[in-house]
Amino acid sequence: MHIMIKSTVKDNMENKLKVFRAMQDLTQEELAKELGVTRQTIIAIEKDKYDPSLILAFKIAKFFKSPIEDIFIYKEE
Amino acid sequence: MLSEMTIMEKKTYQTFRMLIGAFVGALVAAAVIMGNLLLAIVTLLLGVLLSYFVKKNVYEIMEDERTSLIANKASRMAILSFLAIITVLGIGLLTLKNNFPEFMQAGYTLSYSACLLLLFYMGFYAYYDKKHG
Repeated sequence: MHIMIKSTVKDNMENKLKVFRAMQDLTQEELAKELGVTRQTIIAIEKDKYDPSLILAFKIAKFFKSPIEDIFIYKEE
Repeated sequence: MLSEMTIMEKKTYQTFRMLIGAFVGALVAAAVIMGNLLLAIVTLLLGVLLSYFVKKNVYEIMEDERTSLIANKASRMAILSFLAIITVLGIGLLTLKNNFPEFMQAGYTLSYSACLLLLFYMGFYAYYDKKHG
């Protein structure tokens, strides 16, 4: 028997990628190249339209030499 | 011409892809009109080979996890929509077989195609579920 539990809590992720990118004076294109993703992916992450995978989130954190939770903020609504 | 093009930008790639698509489409259409199956198959294979070769020479990143996610969602939606449409259409044609017996064959074809597609979907779902489970 399958029981489906629907969470009433809305998960939300925010990020400061744009801020970190600006601090390093990088364009979206340059950052995308460094991370091995498309420019559209960087745009989507910055606009909070796409949550990156754990691997990509760690790559981003490593690239900016910052803890992952400084860049990606998990919010419960 | 392609050998000179060792490094290619995304826009050039898209132009080449469009040209290959048009070339393959035109030749396959001609082959169908002429009733030449071999020409159609050779053209399709040539198109696949050309696309692969052209894509290999693009230096820009074309695909990543986001594009994979989009492709997955689009494929799933396309398959499920198509499945729903052919199921309804197939069953509809079969239920009307007394009034329109000429559509019975089409009804069976659509219904069996729907079953086959569903089987494929379930099979691949089970495979990937086991693989990533």
